[in-house]
Amino acid sequence: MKLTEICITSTAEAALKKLKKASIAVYDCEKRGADFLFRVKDKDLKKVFAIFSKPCYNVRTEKKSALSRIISATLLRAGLVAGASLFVVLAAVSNLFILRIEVHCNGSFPESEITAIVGEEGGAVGKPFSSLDRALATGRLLALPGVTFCNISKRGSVLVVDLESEISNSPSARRENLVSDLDGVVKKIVAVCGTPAKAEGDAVNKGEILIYAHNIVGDNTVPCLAVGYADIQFKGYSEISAPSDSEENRKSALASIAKEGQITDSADIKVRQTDGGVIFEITYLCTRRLSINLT
Amino acid sequence: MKMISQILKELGADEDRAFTVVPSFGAYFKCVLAITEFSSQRVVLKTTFGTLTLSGDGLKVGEYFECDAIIRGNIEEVKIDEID
Repeated sequence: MKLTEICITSTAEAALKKLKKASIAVYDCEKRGADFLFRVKDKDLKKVFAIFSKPCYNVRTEKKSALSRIISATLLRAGLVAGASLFVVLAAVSNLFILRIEVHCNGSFPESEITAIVGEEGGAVGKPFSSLDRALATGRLLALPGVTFCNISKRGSVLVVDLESEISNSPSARRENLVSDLDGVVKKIVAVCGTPAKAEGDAVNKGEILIYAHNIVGDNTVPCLAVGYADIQFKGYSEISAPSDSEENRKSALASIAKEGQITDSADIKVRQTDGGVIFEITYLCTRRLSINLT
Repeated sequence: MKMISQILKELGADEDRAFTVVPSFGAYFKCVLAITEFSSQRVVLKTTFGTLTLSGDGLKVGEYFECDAIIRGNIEEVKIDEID
């Protein structure tokens, strides 16, 4: 029970009579010389002071209840309590947001590339940790050439990206765009890192860029490694001579147009007779995969 | 208390006139209209059925609310002056 001790200069009998009349429960009454001490519930305090408001009673609070003492102490130190509360709230809130990104990497990847990839997956400074898709960001970082380990963790309000690469400071990473070395049509394009310049179905000419070595963050262009591939379909024509028009010679002629990293989708063979044999005129449709920084 | 009330009822006593004294602890009184005198040696209670004068030492009003009073301390004597 929350009881406050009151002391008044009055006879016990008169004080008790007044308190009873006001229906106030009193506890632990005691006479101490001319003073009368008693306890009342906190909720009755105002009534008690109203009853004994005349100066002759000299009413005063002798000992506040524990709750009243806490409230008084809190009110006296309102600034301190408010400051401490604000600090706790700010600490709790700031812990939910990314205030800094730390990148630990033994490879040759610039920090800006790594933070750009993490940023694209929701892990940017000022954003909440919950907006980061860690699995996707980790997957994309692991797809970088030579990356063998990737861990994204949270330390307070700092997002820590640990990256390990086999090809520490390797010169094999190409810091350039993926450029087409033939004319054709883009059948498929995948940019793990970087920005695709063409879409599927687009025509592409030799020397045109397929994947840019940069990311677009808002209105800014952030340099990065271009990582990815593009399948380009193109038409070709070859003339191959043979001693005669046989099935074996045709197979051999078709095999001669096949190259590594190239699939023949279709081929049309016309035969032209010559003095010493035949010439196969082969018109074909092929798909070649062009890639950059893929292991 | 329930058993005491039951006994008093079966005996035909007026329960409101009953009070309980516990030696060296204190006492509980009902139907108290006023505490007309109060010191550590003597407490006088005006009740609906008369005046009770308590003597002893270390007497304190443990609780007093409406018509119920608990007097704590070592009560040695209770004098009853009934209203005729």
